[in-house]
Amino acid sequence: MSYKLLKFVILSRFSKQLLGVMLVLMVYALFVSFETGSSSGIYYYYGPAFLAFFMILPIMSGGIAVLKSDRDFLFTLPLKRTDLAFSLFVVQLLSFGLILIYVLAYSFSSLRSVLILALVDFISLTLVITSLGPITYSLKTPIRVLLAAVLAAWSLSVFLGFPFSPAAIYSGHAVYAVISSVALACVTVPLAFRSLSRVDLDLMKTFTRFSSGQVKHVRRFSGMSPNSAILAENFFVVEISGRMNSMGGGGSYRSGRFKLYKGVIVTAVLAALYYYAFGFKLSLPLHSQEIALFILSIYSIILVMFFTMGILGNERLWLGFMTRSPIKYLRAILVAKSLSMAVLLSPLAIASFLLAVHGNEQALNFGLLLLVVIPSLMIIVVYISAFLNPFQIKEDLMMPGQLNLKQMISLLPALPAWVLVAFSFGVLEAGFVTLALIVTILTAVIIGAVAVALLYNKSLGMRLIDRLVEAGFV
Amino acid sequence: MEKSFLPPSVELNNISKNYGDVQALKGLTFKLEPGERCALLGPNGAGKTTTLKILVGLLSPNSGYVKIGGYAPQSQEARRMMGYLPDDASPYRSFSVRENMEYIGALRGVDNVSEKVDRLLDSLQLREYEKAKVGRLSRGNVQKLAMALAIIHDPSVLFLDEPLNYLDIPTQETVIDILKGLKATLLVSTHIMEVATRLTERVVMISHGSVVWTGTLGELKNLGKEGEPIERVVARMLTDVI
Repeated sequence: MSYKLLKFVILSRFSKQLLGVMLVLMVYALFVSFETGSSSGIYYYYGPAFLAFFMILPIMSGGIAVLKSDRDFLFTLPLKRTDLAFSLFVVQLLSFGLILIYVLAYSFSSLRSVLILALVDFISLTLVITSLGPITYSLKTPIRVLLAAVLAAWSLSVFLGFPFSPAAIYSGHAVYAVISSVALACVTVPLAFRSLSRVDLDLMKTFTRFSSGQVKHVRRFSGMSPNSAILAENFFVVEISGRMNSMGGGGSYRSGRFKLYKGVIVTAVLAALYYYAFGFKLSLPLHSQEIALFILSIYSIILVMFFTMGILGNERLWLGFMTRSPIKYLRAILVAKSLSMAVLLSPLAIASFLLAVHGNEQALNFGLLLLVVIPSLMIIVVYISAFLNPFQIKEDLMMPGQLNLKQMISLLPALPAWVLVAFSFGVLEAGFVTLALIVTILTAVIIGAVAVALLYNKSLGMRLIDRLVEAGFV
Repeated sequence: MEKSFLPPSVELNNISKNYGDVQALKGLTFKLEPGERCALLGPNGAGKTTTLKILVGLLSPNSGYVKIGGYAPQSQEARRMMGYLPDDASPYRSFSVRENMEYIGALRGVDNVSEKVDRLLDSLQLREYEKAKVGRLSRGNVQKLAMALAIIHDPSVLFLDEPLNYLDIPTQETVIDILKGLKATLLVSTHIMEVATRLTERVVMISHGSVVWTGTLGELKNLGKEGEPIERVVARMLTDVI
């Protein structure tokens, strides 16, 4: 085992400051969890929901943490493949595993009676989630979607009373949960090592596979006005980019594109299900509705990050920004993408407003969050990310740069939204319906106003473009 | 060249640019008249790429001013005139070759974009890659596409940074023919003297962010001894000022 190799691979991907802060946060999470000793029933929902999310995340966005310099230099060195695979696995563990422990550590307090089993379950699940990225990074998108759906459904199956789920630790089936997670780890970890030991060959295969690089339906822009072309590209097509601009979240970069109307069909179906589940028909207990809406709000804010990362990372300054005043181009694409997001989420927002009409006040908050806060937040996050840690995507399946502490700061604009959402939900639970509504409306107005102010601040826009150029954007 | 009464195509006046404590450009001043073809020469780190980025309005100078055809580089008028090919140009990676060309053509307001794209696909031998995603193209084909994107709107002022990089010899000749056929003012940043001699007739030499010499290629050759290669003359001049 080469420790020098391990150290080199880790430090080439993570800054020391980021590693330090991740460690501090993890210890803090564990400390808070044990000190508070809360055994709130919220973890029955929180645990499986976040576990499902972390099953989906590495499959859909993670890939493997490989730099361009690895392909050009590291993989050509005469190193033992087992040492290389181990080092890459540890990097994946840092990339996904630590953030998983951080997020789920709070739920340990509810598992005190089965602490040993809980630890075995978590260690196994961390290994599983770490392994999913390397196993799935070279699979085709439909297969990855299917796999993510199956694993997420397996995690969420505890809500239907299924005991053989890795998340069943939260429903009182600790032994079955451990059996499930250990079995899953026994399958996934060897597969991940196998995949990582030949990652260089896989990457070469991916890059030389010409046939899959053909576009089936070439989009036509001929005959369009400049504004129509911007709308066609930035409003009617939705791009989901797959690197969390935050701590962890995997290393490689992927992006997926789909037409807006197809996305709206999917969100409309989800909205119908959501309306059915939360409306009078299922008569869910009010408490579970509140928790579920809270979790949905948090998920939605996380979703913003996905939409936001690639906006500037995929842009080309020498092309789009040269066709009109750079500020105007920046404004045009951000407005188009923000509106596109609002339209995509609008069926869920409408369903929320309908639920509010039927007496679910909390749904009104969620609707405003979807329709105003999230699309505005997207613009704010673009600005902050651009100033703090801009990265341009120049290579597919590669880390665009080292993961560092600044990326965590890019998450800060999400924080007030998160806190205000939590506050409004808390106030609502305490029975202050009007106050909760005022808080949510104020949140929406403030975040919306900040987004508009950013868009129309010329000197800030020009400084942003200067920053991108100085950061090496082409 | 005949004396023109039009404003200079390109005018930089006393441009300074700092990156933190590093001064990249120090009072850079030069002009290009309409139709003039000029090479921007200089050692690594001289400020050539920064100069081009300021000229095309992607970077703001700390002091001084730039005019393109008499307009500020960020104005709509100047942007209509300009074409720009950066060093290591990378088009939109998730688009196909044709999508890139049609998208930029539409943004540029080019008439009959589809026909124009067809002509460029044929002249740059990109037809067989029309539907290929840029991320899967060879570096040479990416450079051909980048060249097509820089000239798709028939610019009257063209800024090129190492335009023949990555191109094979037949394609280099094709590109040289295309560029010579354009009625555009040309500023070519390059390290390769052959590129400068094939595409331009005048030289602006910069070092440490300032102009150190300007003149025609003939004048540059005359600075050397008889039979001395022009590369050696340039190398001596740049070594003297470093």
